[in-house]
Amino acid sequence: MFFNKKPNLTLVPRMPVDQAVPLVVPILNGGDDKEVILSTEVLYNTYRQSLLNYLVGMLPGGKQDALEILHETYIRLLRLDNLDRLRENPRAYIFTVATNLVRDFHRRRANRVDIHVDFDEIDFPSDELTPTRALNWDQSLEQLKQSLMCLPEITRRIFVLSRFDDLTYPEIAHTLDISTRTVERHMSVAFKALQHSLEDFL
Amino acid sequence: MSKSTLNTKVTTAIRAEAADWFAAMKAPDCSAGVKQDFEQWLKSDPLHELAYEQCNALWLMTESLRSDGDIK
Repeated sequence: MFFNKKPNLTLVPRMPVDQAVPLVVPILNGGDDKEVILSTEVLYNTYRQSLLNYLVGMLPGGKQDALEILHETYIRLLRLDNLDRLRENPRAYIFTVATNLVRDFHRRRANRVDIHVDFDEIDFPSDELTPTRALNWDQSLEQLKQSLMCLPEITRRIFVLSRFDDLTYPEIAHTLDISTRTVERHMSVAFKALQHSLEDFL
Repeated sequence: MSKSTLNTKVTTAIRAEAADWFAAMKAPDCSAGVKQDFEQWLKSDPLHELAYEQCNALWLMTESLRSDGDIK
């Protein structure tokens, strides 16, 4: 079966037509309820450019790391046995698969030293109507940093105690003589600030 | 949600919910009931899972700010 065929690792991950998996999805952003036959290939290729732009800002190795995650995303999509979730909301599902891989990347990275490599720009033709503009890693980090700097003093302090001093909510609550529920609320405010700082490309 | 109104991108409202859940799930004393509510929320819309994982990714990305003296 074509699922067992090994993808050519030397190529930028663009799914070959003969590996297309027929599936039916609703027309996205359309005004009517007509359904159209699309394939995993078409879906992947539709979001490839915006996915790449999205990934570049989340990974320290820029395009190189982003292309690796993009490739792994493609592999995961090919391996799918159950297409229900892809069918339900293709963009959300494809971006979730990629974001989970980013999460795993950063978890691994926290335990090792990385070498930063800059790669030449690689342009993909874009099929999505409104491709997200790309940030690079340094810009992303700067925006995340600024969002934390702009937090109220107490919120930033709580975030730092949790994130960098690895204290639990009860430990933070005890240190600052506040309730754990208050700690949680401040953490939520901090997360919203982080999200807001990169809102345009999330 | 009807097909014609399907959102493909995370909305501000969903992002805020994801931040609240992410903050709640970090509490070590989080109850089984809250965890169950969270699982239900997570599975009820593909955009919920995306927003939650984005929040998680941002959290992990801030690891690179650990040695930044300005923040502390």
